[in-house]
Amino acid sequence: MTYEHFHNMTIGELLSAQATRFANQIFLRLDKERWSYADVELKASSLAAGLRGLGLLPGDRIGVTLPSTPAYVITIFAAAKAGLILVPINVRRDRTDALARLAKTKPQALITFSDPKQFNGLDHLEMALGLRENLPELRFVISTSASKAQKKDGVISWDSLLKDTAPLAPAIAKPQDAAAIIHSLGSSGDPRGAILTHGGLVHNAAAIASRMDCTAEDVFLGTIPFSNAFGFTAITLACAVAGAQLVCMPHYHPSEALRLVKEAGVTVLSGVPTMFALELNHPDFNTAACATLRTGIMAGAPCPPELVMRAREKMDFKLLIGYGLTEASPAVTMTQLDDGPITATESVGIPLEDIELKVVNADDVSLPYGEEGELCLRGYNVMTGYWENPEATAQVLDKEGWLHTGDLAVIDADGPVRIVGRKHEVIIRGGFKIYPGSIEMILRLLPGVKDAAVVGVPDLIFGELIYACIVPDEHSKLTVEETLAYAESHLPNYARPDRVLFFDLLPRHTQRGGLVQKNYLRERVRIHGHAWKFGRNVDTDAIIPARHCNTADPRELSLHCMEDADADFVKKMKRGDLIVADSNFGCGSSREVAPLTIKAAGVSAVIAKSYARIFFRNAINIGLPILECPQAVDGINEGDEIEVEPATGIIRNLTTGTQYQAVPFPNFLRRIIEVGGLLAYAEERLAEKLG
Amino acid sequence: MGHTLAEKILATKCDQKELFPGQFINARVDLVMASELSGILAIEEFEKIRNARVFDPKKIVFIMDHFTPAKDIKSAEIVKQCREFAAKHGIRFYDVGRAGIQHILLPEQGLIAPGDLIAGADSHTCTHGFIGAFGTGIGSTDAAVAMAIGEMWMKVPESVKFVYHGKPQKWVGGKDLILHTIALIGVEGARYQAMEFTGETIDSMRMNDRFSMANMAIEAGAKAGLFAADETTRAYLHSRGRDDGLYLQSDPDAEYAAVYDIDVSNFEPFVAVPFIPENVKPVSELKELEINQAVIGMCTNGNIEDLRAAAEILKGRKIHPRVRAVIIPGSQKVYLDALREGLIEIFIEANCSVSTPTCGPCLGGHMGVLASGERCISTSNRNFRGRMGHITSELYLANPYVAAASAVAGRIISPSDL
Repeated sequence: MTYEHFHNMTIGELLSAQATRFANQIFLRLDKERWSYADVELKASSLAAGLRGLGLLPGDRIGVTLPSTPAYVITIFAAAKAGLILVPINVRRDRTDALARLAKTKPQALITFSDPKQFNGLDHLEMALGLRENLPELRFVISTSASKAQKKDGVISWDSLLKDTAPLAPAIAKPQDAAAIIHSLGSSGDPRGAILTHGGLVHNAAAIASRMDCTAEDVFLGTIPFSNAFGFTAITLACAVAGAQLVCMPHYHPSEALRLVKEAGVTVLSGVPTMFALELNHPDFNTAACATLRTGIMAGAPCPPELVMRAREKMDFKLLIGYGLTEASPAVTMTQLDDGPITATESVGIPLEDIELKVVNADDVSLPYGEEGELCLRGYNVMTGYWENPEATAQVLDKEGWLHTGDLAVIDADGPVRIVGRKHEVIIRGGFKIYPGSIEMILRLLPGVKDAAVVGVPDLIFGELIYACIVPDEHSKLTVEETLAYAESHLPNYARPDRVLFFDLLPRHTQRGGLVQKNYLRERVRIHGHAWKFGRNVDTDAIIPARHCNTADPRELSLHCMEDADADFVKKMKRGDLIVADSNFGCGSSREVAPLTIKAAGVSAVIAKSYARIFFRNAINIGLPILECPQAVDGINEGDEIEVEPATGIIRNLTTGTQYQAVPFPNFLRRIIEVGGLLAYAEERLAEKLG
Repeated sequence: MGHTLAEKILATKCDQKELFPGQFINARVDLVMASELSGILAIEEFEKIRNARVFDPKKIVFIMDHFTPAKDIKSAEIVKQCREFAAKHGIRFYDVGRAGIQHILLPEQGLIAPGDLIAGADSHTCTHGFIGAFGTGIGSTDAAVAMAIGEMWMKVPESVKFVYHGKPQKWVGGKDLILHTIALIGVEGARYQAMEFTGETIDSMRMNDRFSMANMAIEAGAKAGLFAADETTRAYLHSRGRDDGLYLQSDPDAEYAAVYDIDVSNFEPFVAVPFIPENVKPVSELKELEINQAVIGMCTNGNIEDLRAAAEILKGRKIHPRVRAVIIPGSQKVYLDALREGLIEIFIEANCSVSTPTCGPCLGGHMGVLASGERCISTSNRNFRGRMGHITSELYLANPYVAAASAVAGRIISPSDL
């Protein structure tokens, strides 16, 4: 059977075919339990019959909120066999988020579970029951773990539905029918349900499995939630297409992933970049334990070449990079197993078979190879539209079937695609869409300007503000006022920079054509978050060995290094939050462990009373801005909303309305921060010394 | 306007005529130091720098002291990696049996001189201010970069001057002066400042007492803890083969952020009680606090004079049946001197255990980690919660006389009460 066999098939047919070919081979694994392909086929058919027995009809929607367990996989195939359209809701969504996704899709049934201990007290079953008053169409709440009391409340046990063994009429669904509605976020953050077809999903899964050269010998690890298009297609369905094994992981944790890789002999490890970073940085990580790994996909967010390279090296496997989006089922391009090092780490590869790509300019005109524009695609995998949202559909799907991704890309003449920017680079200020490139072009024409980059930063009133980051010529005496005056005479009023900041240089990718690292720059121009305040002596590392792990390995300390301050601190941080610290915060030698941990947790800056203690040096050394401002430290309380412009040293306490000015950074310190840390700075110094 | 000792030393490291507090500089370092704990991270960082080589192998030193002799496979592997890196780059490497605790070892081996800038990947590198060198703790990224380019960035600190008067009484040493000083100004009292220790008391103070004081400057938040090198320093270094160095002094009109006058003549020994080094009490106020362990030595009080002090108390005595005492000489040389002087025999006769040099228990690593609820008196420098072991254990910091006397009494007492 070749992969082409799967190019026109429903999800239900996929399972039936594999149950015939691989009947007794293991499909699903969870802890010590095993389910063969035949087992899953039997259970999925029974559940499908059970669901139909409730009176659900083909085309009805069925919501699913389950962790990534075998029950989830069985539900995916059962829904397909029953002709129901699956609406996956990630288990981490709260009531509001879940409701926003279900209110429009109006499911007749919702399959859920109850395990409040694992989810910080959130009882999904109780939440589902509570949703009934807002979802009049919701007739059945089905639970994999209902108590007796809850059964009285009309909850149907998932197990009871599996008792039905009545044969189903074959092929209720056709390949072109909707199989799932998976939500993505629109530009304003509103969820939109992409309607994905059976044929599109299975074909996409086959193309992914083919690109990875998967066989029945492979063992996949269920790292990505099955509710996500990545996990749904590239893990669950791709595994089924290969006739391979899927090791389920109800709760992702890097140490658990590493354990399973070793113990289950995983061969295919996929994940978002963060997962790989967490796994590689985890003290349990060792190359030998990854010996069985063969390939996998990194996707779901921009993949830093250094990380890809590191993962390929340290995990010693052929990690592929994927690019996709929910609306495309999701995979669009992938690198290939035999790609050279540059393509394998710096591009997103070439399109999967039967998918057409083009790059267009703002006027929707196709651009030649090598030019930057919006990436568009067409093929079997493109959604049929957003569920009951023709306006949103029309914004992204044109009459010729091209899906506009909103991502900026370059297609190289020899094939590989490079994603060069994300759509959020487009600034929306007060409702006006502003393309940074057009402003940058005009700013670069101002005499005295050597380089310019424009980024949007969040603002409560305008949505976003325009920050112009200018690198002046060496001898130029250009001022902020002159730059603003120039902008006023050359740009429409809505597109004028709100702030002009001067830099020695702009952070650029060392590869990828030296493009400005806009995300990084955005964090340098304005940081917005809440304050975490820490006071006196916290022994950030040396104390920990005896208390927690008695390890001699400083790298392991990072897991515990902040526990003196607040045991749950790292878990509670949000991206953008800041540390406001008295000097003695970080009393141990601290080395890099504390700064690296807080950076990983999302801390964007440190406001401190001084550069005292090694902790602060290290914050700067890893490229994390530290602002020295004793008044701000005293004037900010825990939880205050803070805005910081590292480039100017302005600190605003939005809660109290007070503004502070940090001690200015000297040039070389700014440089260390701008280039991303002391190591990069040292490289620069070495290069200078070598002439 | 005159300049302080700190400003003068740093000015020589960046070819400036003069420096002022608050200025940022890229300073040339005279020595980069790392233990295995910081060295392993520094190596990883160093290897990320493209085309990096060590700037000068003679000016880099790796001293294996925190978890050595290797306490487990992991520490053995870490030391192995450090050993291999050192061999590859030809840098000085001090291993078990040839080493000691880094801060004791550097001056002992004649690796530093007055006026040096020492960048050590250990927070207690401020110790080297005891010979008039600017020692300061750095992180592993700093260490990696210093190894590669021989420079470290820093802000020139303000200085704060401590003038000590009076002759300390018997049983009172440098440890008591620094504990009193930290209590006086608090653990943030010298935040990013250079503490400068001066006065008639200092002029007649032995080098080991100066060592203990500079060692704990970081516990007051200081960037460095400095003594102007004098004739005592010169004699000390001469015996270690170093007759060079810059013997600098602060100018009489130098500006200080603060000046403290401290009369030490009525001091009795002090003890820092849990869980912060500024919680300092005279030992006489701490009667009846029973202890389970005493640790004497390590870096803060690990010189031969400190062991002599402990031996003076322990000679002919046995430690309390409830108490375990661990004696940790600061280096192989200190150990050998103690052996030759008969101190080790005194310790063993007193039922003390004598360890090979290691940081071991000070950071709760090994060689005397505390169980829950245990109380320990130690000559080390930090008493944070759980520092030496279980989170409910308690650590009291004191001088070697007090630690030894308490080991004998089974409770914290002054040697004069023994």
